[in-house]
Amino acid sequence: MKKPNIQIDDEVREMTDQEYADLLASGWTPDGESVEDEP
Amino acid sequence: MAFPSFASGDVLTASDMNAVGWWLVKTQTVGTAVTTVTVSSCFSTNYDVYRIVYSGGNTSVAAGWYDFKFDATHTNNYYGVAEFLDYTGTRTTQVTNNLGRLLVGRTNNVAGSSSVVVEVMSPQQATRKAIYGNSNIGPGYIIHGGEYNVATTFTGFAMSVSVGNMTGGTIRVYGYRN
Repeated sequence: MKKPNIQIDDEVREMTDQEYADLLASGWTPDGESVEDEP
Repeated sequence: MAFPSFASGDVLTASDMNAVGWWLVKTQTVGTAVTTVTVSSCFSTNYDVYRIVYSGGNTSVAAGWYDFKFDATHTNNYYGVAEFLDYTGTRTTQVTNNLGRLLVGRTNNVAGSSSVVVEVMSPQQATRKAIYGNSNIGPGYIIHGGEYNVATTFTGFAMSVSVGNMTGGTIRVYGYRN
């Protein structure tokens, strides 16, 4: 499974396993309640 | 001193240039579908206070949060609060109590909707760092304030999203003239 992208300055790349683990530990989720805030 | 008015071909004097309040120190274009953008080498001893502005992009998922932290692996020492008030009058308050990031904005999946402003005090001074500001999310606003309570110095920062990813837009970093 492809991991999310991370950007460092102009470089965009796939996250390493550690970076992805840290991201998940932060509480990040790939999708959530997609609620439109616009009226 | 009166605000100077320049015309094409004018000589820019040191006194006029040294009175410029903000200086654009770094511009970073946000790529496609990234969860985190690290902007490095933007804080220096030239300025004590910086303003970070992210505009023109959008996220894949709405109703999440933009996070801020300095460019290091942090799991704690950030304290603060973010409050979101929407057009219905509904207020959402999120606190940060000794975590690895601060909340600084609300995500929106409408194209070009990203709107985050973060002011950072003393990133290059041996003192606690105040981090505060506001942002807009269409018909609502967010105010946020907090600190990183350790006297470490930093040269950059990272902005992330709590859900999904972000695409496009530009992050600009301005230094306030000391």
